Amino acid sequence: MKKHELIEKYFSNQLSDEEFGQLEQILEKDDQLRDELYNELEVKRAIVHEKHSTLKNRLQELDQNTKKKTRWIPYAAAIALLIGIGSILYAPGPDYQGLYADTFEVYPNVINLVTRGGAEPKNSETIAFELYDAGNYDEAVRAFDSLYKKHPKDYLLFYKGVGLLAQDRTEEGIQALQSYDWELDGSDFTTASNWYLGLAHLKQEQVVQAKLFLEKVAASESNLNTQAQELLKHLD
Amino acid sequence: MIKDQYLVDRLKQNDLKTLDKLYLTYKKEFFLFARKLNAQEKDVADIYQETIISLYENVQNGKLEKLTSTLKSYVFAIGKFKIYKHLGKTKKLYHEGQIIHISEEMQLFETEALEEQRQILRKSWKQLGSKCQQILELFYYKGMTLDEIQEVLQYASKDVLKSQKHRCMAQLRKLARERYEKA
Repeated sequence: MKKHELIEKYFSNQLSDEEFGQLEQILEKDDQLRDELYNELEVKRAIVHEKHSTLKNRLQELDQNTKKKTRWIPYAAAIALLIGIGSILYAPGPDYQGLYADTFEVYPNVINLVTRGGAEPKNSETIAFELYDAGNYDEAVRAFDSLYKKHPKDYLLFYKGVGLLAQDRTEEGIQALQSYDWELDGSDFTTASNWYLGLAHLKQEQVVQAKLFLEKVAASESNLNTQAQELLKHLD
Repeated sequence: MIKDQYLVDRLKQNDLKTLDKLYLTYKKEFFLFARKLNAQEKDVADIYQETIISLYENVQNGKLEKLTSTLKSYVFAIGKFKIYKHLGKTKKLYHEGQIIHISEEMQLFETEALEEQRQILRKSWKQLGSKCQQILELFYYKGMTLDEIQEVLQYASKDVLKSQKHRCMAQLRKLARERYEKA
C-alpha cells in the first residue's frame, strides 16, 4: 500500500493495527512524509479547536458550579458583603440588564407557517407554534418540550429555549440551548442559538461567556452579525 | 456495556448533557489515576477536560462507534496517553524540532507545538475560503475518505479532488506563513 493511502486511512480511522505499525515505520525514515503528517495533524487540531471552543469553557464552568454547591455556601455571606463594598468602591460597569432589554426579541416562527383558514387538521407541532406566535410562551414551551422528547428535532429545542428566555426563565433557557451541540451538526439554528446564548449570559451578567457567543455571531454570515458587533462594542 | 453504548449514541446525537454527566462521573477517579501516574496536580484538571473533549471528538468523527470495552476504560485509555504525553513518556517521532507523540494502543498521533503558532494557524484557518474549509473539514474533522468526499461534493474525479485539497493545504500554509512573518 502506498504511503499516502496509509495517511488517508489514518484520518478516516480505517487503519488496522498492522497498518498503523507499518505507517510508524515509514514515518521514522521518511522525512518529507513526517513533515506532511505534522502539518496535517496541526490543521486537524485547528479545526477541532474551532468546533469545540465552547466545550472547554463548558466543562470549566461545570467544575465551578459543583464547587460552588459543595464548598462555597458558608462563604456566601462574606462574598455578598465584599460585593456590597465593591459596588460602593467601583463605578458601575455597562448596564447589562438595559442592553439585554433593548436587544432581546423573540425569534420569528420560521418553521410552521400556517395558512389561515386552511381546512387541514392541525397537528401538535402546528399547535405549539400557534401558542408561540400568540405569545403564550409558557404553554408553547411545554408543547415543544413534549414534542422534542418524541422527535428530537433541533428546532423544537431551539424554540423551547427562546420561549423560556421570553418568560425571563433565563437559567432554564440557557440550559435548554446549551444541551445541544448546534455547530457540530451544522444546524440551521447555530448562529441564532449563539445569539440567544450570548444575550442570556449578558442578562446573567456573565460577560465572558456572553462575549464568547456573541463573537461567534459577529463573525458569522448571518444578518444578526451587525447587531452582535454593535453589542460587543458596548461590552469592551 | 449496553448502557455505555447508549451513552455513546447520545453523544453522537450531540447531547452535551450526557457529556456533562460523564465528565462528573469519572472525575474523581481520574484524578486518583493521574496521581498514581505522577502527573502534576495543577495540570490534571486541564488534562481531564482535554480527555473528555477527545472522547466527544472521537464519537463525532467516527473513530469510536461501537465500544469494545467499557466506556470508562476507553476514557482512561485516552487519559493515560495525555498524561504520558504531559510527562514526556510517550513514544515519539522527531522532525526538525517538531514532535509527534504516538499511542499504539489508541492508534493515535498527536503533535506538540507552541501556542502562538497554533493561534496563527487558527486565525489563518478563518481566512481560508469556504470551499477549502469544507473539503478540509470533511477530511480531517469528519473523518471521511476521499471517495466519500468526491461523492458528496460531486467532484469529477478523485484526482481533481486530491489536487484541490492539496491547493487548499498550500494556501492555508501560505496564509500562516504570511502571518508568522508579520508577527
